[in-house]
Order: sequence, then structure tokens, then C-alpha cells
Amino acid sequence: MRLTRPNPLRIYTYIIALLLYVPVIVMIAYSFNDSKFIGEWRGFTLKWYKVALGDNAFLETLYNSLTVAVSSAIVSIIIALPAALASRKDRLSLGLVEPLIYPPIVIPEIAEAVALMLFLISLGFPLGWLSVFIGHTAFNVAYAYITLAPSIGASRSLEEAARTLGAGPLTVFTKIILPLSMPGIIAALMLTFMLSFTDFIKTLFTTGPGFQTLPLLIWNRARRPGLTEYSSQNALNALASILIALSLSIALAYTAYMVKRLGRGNA
Amino acid sequence: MNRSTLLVLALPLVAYLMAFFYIPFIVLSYYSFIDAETGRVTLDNYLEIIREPAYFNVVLYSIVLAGETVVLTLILSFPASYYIALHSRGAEKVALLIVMITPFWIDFLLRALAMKNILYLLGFREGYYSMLAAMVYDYLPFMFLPLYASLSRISPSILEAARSLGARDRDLILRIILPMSLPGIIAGFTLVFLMSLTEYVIPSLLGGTKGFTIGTMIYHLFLSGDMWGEGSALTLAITLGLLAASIIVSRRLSRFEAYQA
Amino acid sequence: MKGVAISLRKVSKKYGRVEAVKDIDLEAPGGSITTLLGPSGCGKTTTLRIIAGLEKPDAGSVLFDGVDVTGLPPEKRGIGMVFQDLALFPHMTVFDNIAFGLRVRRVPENEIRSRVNNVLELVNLDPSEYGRRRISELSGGQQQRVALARVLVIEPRVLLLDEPFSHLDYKIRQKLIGEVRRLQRRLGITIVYVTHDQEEAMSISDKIVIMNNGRIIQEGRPDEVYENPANLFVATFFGEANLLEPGLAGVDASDIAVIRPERVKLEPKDPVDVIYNGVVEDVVFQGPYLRVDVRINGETIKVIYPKINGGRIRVGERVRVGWNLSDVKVLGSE
Repeated sequence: MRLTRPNPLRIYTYIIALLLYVPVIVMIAYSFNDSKFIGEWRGFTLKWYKVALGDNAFLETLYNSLTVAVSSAIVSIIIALPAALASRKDRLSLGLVEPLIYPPIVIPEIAEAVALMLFLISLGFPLGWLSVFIGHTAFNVAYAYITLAPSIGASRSLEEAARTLGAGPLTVFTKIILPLSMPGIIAALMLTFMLSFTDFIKTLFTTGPGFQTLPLLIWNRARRPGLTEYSSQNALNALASILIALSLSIALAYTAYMVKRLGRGNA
Repeated sequence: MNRSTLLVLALPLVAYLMAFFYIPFIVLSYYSFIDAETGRVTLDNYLEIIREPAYFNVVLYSIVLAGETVVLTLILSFPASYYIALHSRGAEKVALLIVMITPFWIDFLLRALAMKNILYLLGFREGYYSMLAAMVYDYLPFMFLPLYASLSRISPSILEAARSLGARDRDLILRIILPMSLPGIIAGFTLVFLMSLTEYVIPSLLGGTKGFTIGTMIYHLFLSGDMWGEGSALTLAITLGLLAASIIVSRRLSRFEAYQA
Repeated sequence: MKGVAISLRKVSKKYGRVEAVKDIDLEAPGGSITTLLGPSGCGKTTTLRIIAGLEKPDAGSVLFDGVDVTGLPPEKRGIGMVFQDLALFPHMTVFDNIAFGLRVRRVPENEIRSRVNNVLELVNLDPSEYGRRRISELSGGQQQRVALARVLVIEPRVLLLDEPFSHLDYKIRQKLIGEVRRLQRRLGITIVYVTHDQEEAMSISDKIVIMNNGRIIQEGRPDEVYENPANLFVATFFGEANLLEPGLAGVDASDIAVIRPERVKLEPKDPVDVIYNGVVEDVVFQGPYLRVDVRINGETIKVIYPKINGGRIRVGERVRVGWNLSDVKVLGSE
């Protein structure tokens, strides 16, 4: 049934959808612009991509961001997974864990970043890779838990069925619980990786001299677009386009994985 | 597995959050009660943020900015989420949902940067409206999703039932659609408000001289200036305020949803 | 293969303050079907889970053929259990579900293949067609058969069924109950069956155990229990019963007297011990018979009236209703 004639509403929806992408498309388009500035179009070029790939600062901060994000994603899942399993089975664990989980998600990131910075400084903790990793993992464990908790494990009767069929607790874990938890684990890995990889605020406050991640580099250059090859507007656009291509291909792979699992009636 | 094994499983998470989330806040509150020069316990930091009108003005300014962001994202995304939830179907619905959700995968900072580019191309320089435009652009998906979630719970049969009872378009909107989407409106409102109130990236990139918000002020108090005492007091006050507000809203919301279900 | 005899001795189980099972003694004879019947919350599922080893009793012991298995975990009891929600593994094919119990027993893969195929045929599923299917691709009845095949393949000494057919429609349920009976006779295993459905219990059981509030109220052959209910709860839960006012029954006023609706005679042709005049309140057509409510002296009496007796009965009609005193059951008060 139609409430009103849907056409104006439909056109509006398509316009909003389009507007969400216009800035990104323009940014990608200008990354092929043979000029240092976005204001003037001087024809097609791939030179900004060559510049980006020869840009040591870009490659170094990309490497930094990847190592922090991968480690933080894995470690936060290792920390959150047992808690998610425990709180599914036991109200006391649930009561212990749940109230602690929400503040890291609700409290402004800038506040927790400041607090962690003060804490680390008063301990005399050196600021760099490790402090950034610790900071990212502090919010990641919370997000990993809320992603894992609803999807993790098998229903009680599946575990019991496996027991009555002769499987011991270890077999139940490896053959039933773990395979059924895989979609949740993959989802949590994706989320925590992206949160860490794109994090800006926590990194800004908890990093020290000599350690920079990719978002910090981009922010620094975006604030003061320079005239050097590396920091010009369109060099930055090329860099941003590479990152967008990277995130979207990860998103695509992830969606394909989930669709495949859903298609197998396995979600 | 018995209870103590299960508690041991929960322990690493609890310990990590204690060590690197909760204890840092205790350290923060410690700094907020310490006089930086004498090292004595004092309430001066709190008195100063109350006394000094600059703090109050910045907080008020940020609330206005966040409020405008929330209202604009709500107005812009409601018709679209309504159309996708209740009027689109099949492939169109899937395609539109993918289109609306994909921006979540693109880094927030990169979207702000893209907005800065296009505003530059259109002739806008740093300032209040550039900052607001980027906020609305970056936060729109965060408003869309909860709205869509609550609107998609309205089944066509509910609308048909209302129709069969004699409801006109106006009645449908005022008596069915708006009340049923209220949880989504409240959730989106809270989410976007919480995030945009302390936003740092967009004011610092696009605000220019108008970019002095809570986020940039905290940055300056800690990283440019050296005013840890007042900075801690301000940060703690804002944190506790927002935490209390979000607890109240989520309590109300869950009661409201339980009542609707 | 002969199924084991199961005994529970003075078994109790509490959940928090709720006593789910109170000090029960139960015998399930080897090679027969014993049904635990009762309303929800009566303790029947807890009893079954205690037999399976999924719950540890707070007190008492569980014996299999006289051997105490109380401390044994479920995987060491040699049982098979079909769960109410079937608990089929959604991430495995039909074949892998059925092979699970054999794989954890380290049975060689070629033997697994033949045993799984045999058991699929036993439950009337074509191995070549269904083996590779996902659980989500099966109908409810087919999932039911797979759940049964998955426990039969491990050749359990004891088969425990927890309301396995409750979510299936009537016809499929009847068919599967028949199949379970046939399989049980063929394999000679012991089955303990939990249900809240009295009709299911009557048609499947060798022995019926009626439970309420965590206690066993009555046990025996289905027909014995039906004909001689121990108290009013059994009389009304297991079959239908008219509770007779002392004046009507023709028995001592201090006792509770009941009569089954099919024992009440409407317009009796043969002489009966007591007879009353009444008014028809309601008539429900039920295929081979009519259910008639007759109002007598302010009481409503339910009557099952075979259609074969002929005649048309209309609401508001005056009728005569009677019964023989030998059909009235006098029950102890409970």
C-alpha cells in the first residue's frame, strides 16, 4: 500500500544517497588531477599515486597503523571472547561484565584519551607504539565484547546434544562452539580492526614523539596543505583514495563472506 | 563448567578495562583536585571552570553546534529512512540500504577531508557553516541507522489495519508512524549528540576561527597549553554529565520499547 | 541387544529455592517405553535430564542395570537423547550430524559411512538424496528423523526423548510415534519419553508415570491408570472426568466421585443404576461421536455419545441421563 504518492519521497531519497557520495567521488576524481590544487583541473594523471607510493612517511605510517590495528584486533578478541562465553552461561559473570562495558562506548573518546594519557604519563610509561596499542585495545575490548556476546557460542541444547552423543568438553568447544561462533568472531575482528585503523583521537593523545599513524599524518597534512609534492591537496586526495579503496574492498570481502554464510543457512 | 571457572574467563576483560579505562579516570579525577603549582588538594579547578565565562561559552557554543547537527541530520534522514523502510522493496531496498550503510566503512576523517575539498571547490572557506556542513555529512549515517531500524518494525499490516479503521494519511503519520519511530529518533538523537558535542577532527579541520569547541578546547588545555588541572575538571564534568544523560535516556528508552513490544 | 533397566533412588533436585524433583523413586524396565507425563513444570524434564547426566541430583542415585552412574558425565553413559528443539548442528550436513557421535568415538571413516547410510534408511530418508543436505533445507518431519537417526546410529542402550514431536502437526506426529514404537520393538532398547500430551502418552507407552509438582503421582500400564486413577488430578489430567456432587453419584458424601464421559449414558435403552432428567446445554460434533453437555440439578455433566446410537440431539432438549454405579470411581482426597 502507498501512503502518499511515493515519487517525491523516492526522488528525495535518491538525492540524499547521491549527496553522501558526491564529496568522496570528487575527492577521488581530483586525485587524478594533474595539478597540485583542487581548484584547477589540468587533465588526467596517475602521478599522485606514484608520489604516494614513493612517500616514505605514508608507507611508514600505513605500516604503523596496520601493525597497531591487527594486534589490537586480535588481542581484544582474545580478551573479550572468554568473557563473552562466560557471561552467556552465568548471570554472575554477566552482572560483572555488562556494567563495565558500556562506559567505554558511551563516554566521549576525547575524555578517555585524556585520562589514559595522564595515567601513562604519571606512570612514566613511554609513549609510542605500545601506548597507542594499549589505548586502542581499551575501547576495542568493549566493542569486541558487544559484538561477540549476542552471537557467540552455541545454544545450551546444542552443547548438551553433543555431550549426550559422546563428546567431551574439549570436543564440544572445538567442534560445536568455535565453528558456530566464527561469524561473530570475524565480525568482531573487522570492527575492532577498523576502529583502531581509523582511530584519531586516542592516538593523538597517547602517542609520543617519533610515532605517527596514518590518520595523524593525513590530519596534519590536511590542516596545512603544503606546496611540496607530498603534502599538496591532490597528493592527499590520492592517498585518501587508496585508503578508501582499501576499506571498501575489505567491506566487500566481509559482506561476501556473510552473504555466503547466510546463504548456507548458517548465520 | 562451574561458576569460578566462568568468572576466571571473564577476568581478563574486567582486568584490562580496570587497568586502562577505569583507573585512568581515577587519575584524571585526581588531577582535577590538585593545584598544579602547590600540589595541594583543591577545588579551585572546578571553581575556575564555573567562574571563567570562556568555559561556559565554549560549552554552550558546542551544545548549539551539536544541537543543530542533530536537528539537521534528523530532518534530512527521516524521509529517506521512511521511504527505504516502508515504501521500497526487493532489490531497490537492498541497494538503498547498502548505499546508506557503506559510508560507515569509509574513515570518518577521510569523509571530513572530502567535505573540506568540495566546500573549497564551491568557494566556502573554513568557518561555522563549513564546520556544520561537515558535521551533518559525517553524522548522517549514524542518524539514519536507528531511524531505519525503528521504522522497519512498522509492518505494512499495521498501516493496513489503521487504514481499515478509518485512518487518513495524517492520522497514520501522527498516530502510528511517529510514535512507533520515537525510540529510533531518541536513539539517533542521543548517539549523534553525544558524538558531535565533543567532536575534535571537524572543528580543527573546518572550523577555522569558529572552531573553538569543547573538543578543541580540551586539546588546547592538555596538548598546547599545560592546564591539566582545569582540563581534568572540565573533562570529568562533561564525561559525568554525558554518562548520566545517556543512562537516563537508555533507561527511558528500554522502558518505552518494552511498553511498545 | 537388550535395553538397560533404569532406576532412580530417592532423587531430589532444587533450582535455587524451587524444588523441581522431590525424593522420587522410578523404575524404567529394560526394553520398554516408559513415559513421564505431567503438566509443564511438574519435574518430568528435570527427571529425564538427571537420567541423561545433564543435571546432577542434589540427593539420591541413578542406576543403569543396577550400576550406579550418578557421577558419570553424559558422554560416558551410553545414552542417546532427542531434545525438544532437536538441537541439530546447523553448521553440519545431515551426514555430518549423524556421523558426529561415531567420529567422537573414533570409528573408522568407512564404517561410519555404512552405518550412517543404514540408519538413514532405517528412518526412511534416502542417503544419496539427504546425506549432503543442510539442516535448514529439511522439513520439520525430516529434521525429526535426522535427530532420531543421530542418536540411533550410536546404538544407545537408553534412548531419552524430550517432547520430540511437540512442534509437529498431528498427522506427522502420529506417524512418527508409530515409527518409534516399531523401532523400539525391533531394537529392543529402553526408551524414556517425556510429554505433556496425554494422547501421545497413551499411544506410545508400555508404562506411564504421572508427575505433578516434582512428585510421582501414579504409575502403571496406560489402561490401568486410565481405568483406576489414583486421585482427582490423575482423573482429570489423564483423560476427562465428570466430578459428581455427592447427591448425584449415589455414594458416600465424604468421598470424591468421578465418572468418565464415555461411561455416562444418554437416553439409556438398558436399565441403569441411577437416572436423571436434564437439559442439553451444548452439542459438539466430533466425527464418530458427539460431545454433549447436559445440565442436571444445576450441574453440567459431559457425555460422549456415539453417533452410531442415532437420533438427533438439540440444545434445549430435555433428555434422560444415567449410569451404573460400577462405573463411578471413588477417589481418595488429594
